[in-house]
Amino acid sequence: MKKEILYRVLGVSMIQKDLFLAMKRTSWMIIQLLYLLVMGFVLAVAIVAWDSDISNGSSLWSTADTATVVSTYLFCQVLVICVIFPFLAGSSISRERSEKTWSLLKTTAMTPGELIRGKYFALVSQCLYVMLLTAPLLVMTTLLGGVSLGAVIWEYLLHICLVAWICAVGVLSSALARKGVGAILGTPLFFFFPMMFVIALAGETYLGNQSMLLGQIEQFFTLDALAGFISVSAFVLSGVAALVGAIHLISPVNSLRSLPTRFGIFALYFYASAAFLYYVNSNIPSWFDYYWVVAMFVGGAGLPLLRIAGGEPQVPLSVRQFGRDHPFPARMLAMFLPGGLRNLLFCFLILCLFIPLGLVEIEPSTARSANLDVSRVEADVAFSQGLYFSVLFWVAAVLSFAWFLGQCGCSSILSASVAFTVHLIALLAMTVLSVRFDYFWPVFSPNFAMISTPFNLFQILGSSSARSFQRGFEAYFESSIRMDTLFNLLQIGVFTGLGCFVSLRNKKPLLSLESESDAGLLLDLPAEIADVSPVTDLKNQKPDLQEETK
Amino acid sequence: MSLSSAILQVRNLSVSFGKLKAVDNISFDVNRGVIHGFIGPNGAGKTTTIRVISTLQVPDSGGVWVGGMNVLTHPNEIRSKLGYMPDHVGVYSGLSVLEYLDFFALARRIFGSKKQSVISDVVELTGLGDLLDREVESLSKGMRQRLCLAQTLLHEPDLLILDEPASGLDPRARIEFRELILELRRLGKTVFLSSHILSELSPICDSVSIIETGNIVAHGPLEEIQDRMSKGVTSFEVTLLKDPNEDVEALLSQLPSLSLKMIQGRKFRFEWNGEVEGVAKVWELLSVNGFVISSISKKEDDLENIFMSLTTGEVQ
Ligand SMILES: Nc1ncnc2c1ncn2[C@@H]1O[C@H](COP(=O)(O)OP(=O)(O)OP(=O)(O)O)[C@@H](O)[C@H]1O
Ligand SMILES: [Mg+2]
Repeated sequence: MKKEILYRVLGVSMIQKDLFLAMKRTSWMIIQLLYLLVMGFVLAVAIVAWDSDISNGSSLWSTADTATVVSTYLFCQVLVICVIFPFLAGSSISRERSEKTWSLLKTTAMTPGELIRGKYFALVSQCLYVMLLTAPLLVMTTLLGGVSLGAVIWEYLLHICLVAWICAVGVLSSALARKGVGAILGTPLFFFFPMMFVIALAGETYLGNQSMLLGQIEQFFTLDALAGFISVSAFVLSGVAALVGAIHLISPVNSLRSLPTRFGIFALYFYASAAFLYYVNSNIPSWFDYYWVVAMFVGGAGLPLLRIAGGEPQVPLSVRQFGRDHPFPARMLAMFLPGGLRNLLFCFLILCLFIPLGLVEIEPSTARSANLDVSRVEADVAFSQGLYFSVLFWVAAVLSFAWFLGQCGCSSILSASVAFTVHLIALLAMTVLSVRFDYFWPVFSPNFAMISTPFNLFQILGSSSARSFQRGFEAYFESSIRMDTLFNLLQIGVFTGLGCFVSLRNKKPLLSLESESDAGLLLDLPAEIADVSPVTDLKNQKPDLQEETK
Repeated sequence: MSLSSAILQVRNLSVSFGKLKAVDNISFDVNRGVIHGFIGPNGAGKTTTIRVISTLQVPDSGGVWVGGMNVLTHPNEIRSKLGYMPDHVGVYSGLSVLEYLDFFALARRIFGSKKQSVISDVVELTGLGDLLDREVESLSKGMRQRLCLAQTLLHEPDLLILDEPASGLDPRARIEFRELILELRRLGKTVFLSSHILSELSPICDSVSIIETGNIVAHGPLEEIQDRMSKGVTSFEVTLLKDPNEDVEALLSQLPSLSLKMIQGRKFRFEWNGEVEGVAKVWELLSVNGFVISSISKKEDDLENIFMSLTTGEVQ
């Protein structure tokens, strides 16, 4: 019994098989060789450097030399980890897919979680094995002094954390890819930026400062403990989220993983908004920067929600079942269950998380306001605060547009991109018009032209350089009613209403989890034909069959 | 549990890929302990149906029950009762036959001494005994099929779903495979297997479903389908002892329910439209007129003909 639990939790059978196969693979031999070559080369170069020191007259190995060798070694290790391991991880599942063994695995007793955990731990142990190949050499250098064994072990642990993260994200990228080519293309996509960052950081630390990553992290923590904590937990969370996402992607027909996925998304946004609030409170920004930054943040962070809003209006089967079997929890968690109007409400719930960002009390910074009229500054703060809420409403409007498209039957990607593109086109069109008809500006009432929030942002951005924009900006600035906010609210109402209308007309569920008109997936064996045996079935079919064959 | 004896129940199943309806509202039952053939031309929707049954694909509508459990709501329970062999058998290059079976036994949570005995059982059943140390990669296609079948048997499933198990096998391997499947039925398993070729399966199948462009065109025991296809007409082939020097044709034309199809030397073939018992009149008439019959055979409608007349050759 205990053995079974172990197998289930760690995916031991998968680990065994993967490691065993890996040992026999030639590509694995090549990776080992490559790794040894790189590391051997580094150490060889260090020794050559030492020889040249002798010729200079200083025949003793100084402790500083050891430090150089160790940090060069560690940098190379990071480099190799960042370059080789993503590809190793990125092909883990897609290889099974292309070898057609994946569907066999899926019909065994292994759960998706077990499959992913097995793959993951197998990958991590493969990588660890490679890393530990050269570890004895490194430990020996510490005998020469200058670097403590503890420090080296700590660095190794940090590298292992990096490897663990890479493997998690690699498994996700591999689970995403349907074909081998997709996996190969997807891996750099996933890893390019994080790995560039890691390599830059490692280069700066090991080669630039001749210090250790641990020291760097300690310094970061002493400067700002909470910020350090936030970064570390973001690192851990993203790794865990990648694994959960991978499990979700390979889950069979009936799984309720959409629930934790939405929890995860909610937690992520909650976290981001809390982090922002924290930073604001710890060092109060100047008013102008603050609202711009949060407005941009909300605009950017809101767009990924488009895919959720524009998702399938159908209530997934697993959710329907959950609602049927556990009505009370289902009602409590209604916001987090996909399908129908809940798709939109969930997005609005997330937008609500951003409201506190717009309510922060901000002191106009004295440096800026020194030679400004105080009332003018206050008006500016009020204005930019209003701008922030305009952006928030704009995101809500685009979301409801996407939701409407989703109700009309567009796929989530399609409705997300159409909703966004429409706003983009409106922005471009208005920009072209306002530039073209600069002299006839009054023809377009400023208030009327300012119904598009992105256009207003654009105008304000350009107000210092272009006169016509400035004029528009001032008009917008002075108007007591923001046309764009009104217009956004109107859009939210209209599209939500239209979406509800469409979905009611198509007899799709809006709020309920159960729906009569569901495409007809049968969960319970229909009683009327339950006892149809092949023979009677045949007799029923007989007449028309004979006609068919004539 | 359902009350009926069916182990597999498919109801109003539809699956589409974009606009293409790969499976279009099909319903059928498969009874416990039978060998059921699922036959159709390329692209008929066999693999798609099988993937739904094996919990690998979500249908658009309808449902499938295995042992009374819905594939959508109880996939894990069903997986423990079902052995699935895909149409393209994937093997791990680098594992030996024994290691391969060992891995799949562990994957099905069979441990320790139970594992050893289960593996030796299936190895004996599938005749892989001599190959245990061979690399999986080096096996021939027929051996791979056997290995994959062995793998699906490890957890002693009640229902075996085999997607084109006989494709790509030579005649000898085919016959051996049939024997294996008959053996499985003897062990009380239900076997659901697909094929392109009706005659390939007919010797062993208790019942068949014929599917074309996503629709079931015939379903039931093979004899019933044959009877139905022949539409009450029975054809006989008669061989006489000697070359008839008199006109048989004129003689036989006296009987209204007989239509002569062919005369060739001592042989002739006719169709009898009516009660089968009435055909005795023919023998009587012949012997009264001095013809000695050396053999009579009742012609079954050819399986290939049935298949050809049931399917239209339409491709989606
Ligand atoms: N993943 C898929 N995406 C798109 N179309 C598919 C997919 N799988 C199958 N089809 C289409 O569905 C139809 C039925 O396919 P299926 O594989 O079920 O046929 P089959 O009866 O198994 O044929 P074969 O005898 O060639 O194996 C085909 O027209 C096929 O092109
Ligand atoms: Mg097929």
